[in-house]
Amino acid sequence: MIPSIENLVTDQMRACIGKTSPVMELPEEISASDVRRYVEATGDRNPLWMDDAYARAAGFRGRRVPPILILQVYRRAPEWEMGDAMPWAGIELPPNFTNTRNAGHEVEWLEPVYVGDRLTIQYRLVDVYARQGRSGPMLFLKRACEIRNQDGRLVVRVTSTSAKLPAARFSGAGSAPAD
Amino acid sequence: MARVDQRVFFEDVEPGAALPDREFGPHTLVAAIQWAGVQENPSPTHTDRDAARAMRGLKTVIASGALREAYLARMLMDWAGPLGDLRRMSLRHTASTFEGDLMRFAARVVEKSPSSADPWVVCEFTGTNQDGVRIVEGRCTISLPRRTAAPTGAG
Repeated sequence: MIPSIENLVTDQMRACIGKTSPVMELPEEISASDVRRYVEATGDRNPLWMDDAYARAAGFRGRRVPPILILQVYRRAPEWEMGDAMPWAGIELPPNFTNTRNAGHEVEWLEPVYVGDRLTIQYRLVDVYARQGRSGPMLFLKRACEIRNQDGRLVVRVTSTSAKLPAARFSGAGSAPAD
Repeated sequence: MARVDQRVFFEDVEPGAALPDREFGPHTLVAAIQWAGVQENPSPTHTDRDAARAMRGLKTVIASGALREAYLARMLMDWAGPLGDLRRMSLRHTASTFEGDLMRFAARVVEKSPSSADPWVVCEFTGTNQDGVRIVEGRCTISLPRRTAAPTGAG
């Protein structure tokens, strides 16, 4: 069956929407040392990250973890790569749709993260849809990485979209397989 | 007691307002190695000139995209903070930053919340290098404090 926008997203795929990975704990709390080395690497000497009294005067519980640093520590989770491979979603892709392209991501910072917080990450399949690309229909998988703190509060959500499309075809007449 | 120095308030900002331009860099191998430690990402593209040339045909190491986002976030938080906050960000990396390159960021407000009960602004930003090549572009949502809600510093 020739894939088209109408038939590319199957009932099986739609049923996967909402599926989640296991919850993965980061091996240690985010430390003052993590923040100090971030400040040294970037030169970002914002007193919100460095000074408890200043952070409290601004209405926070204490020293904050810089927004971009929060996004780096998820790599500490033992199997963080399953966010990209997505075995937990159980999606049955069309067999030749093996080409993957990054189609963007968006970050939402929902609550402050503080030095000393212990975070967990969990992936969730948010949407599956099809769009017409230049060389044919493409499947888009939208997933969220949900980062929670030790109180179970959702602090950061990173929504990533990847495009799945057929492996590059050889040019030439007909639709004969490459090998 | 620490004094909080807030310069930007929701009431004062309108669409079209430009944030102060910021320039970072030049990108150095030392900064790349420090960042690789922070990110726990030993990718040779970012830290090894010979490997960057051999593996990717690059003239030298390129900066991690996340490091560039860190400079951009610093610009945004320096403007909005300490009482304002980065809420949402999406961006595209459009060209690499090589060792020795500068990163120049510009941003402006493009949208403002219709309700001061939910005081956010949307900004669009771009980054360019020293030759004017665009390296990054995107949008972000920033919450700003209202004048009436701002705490005063202690005497």
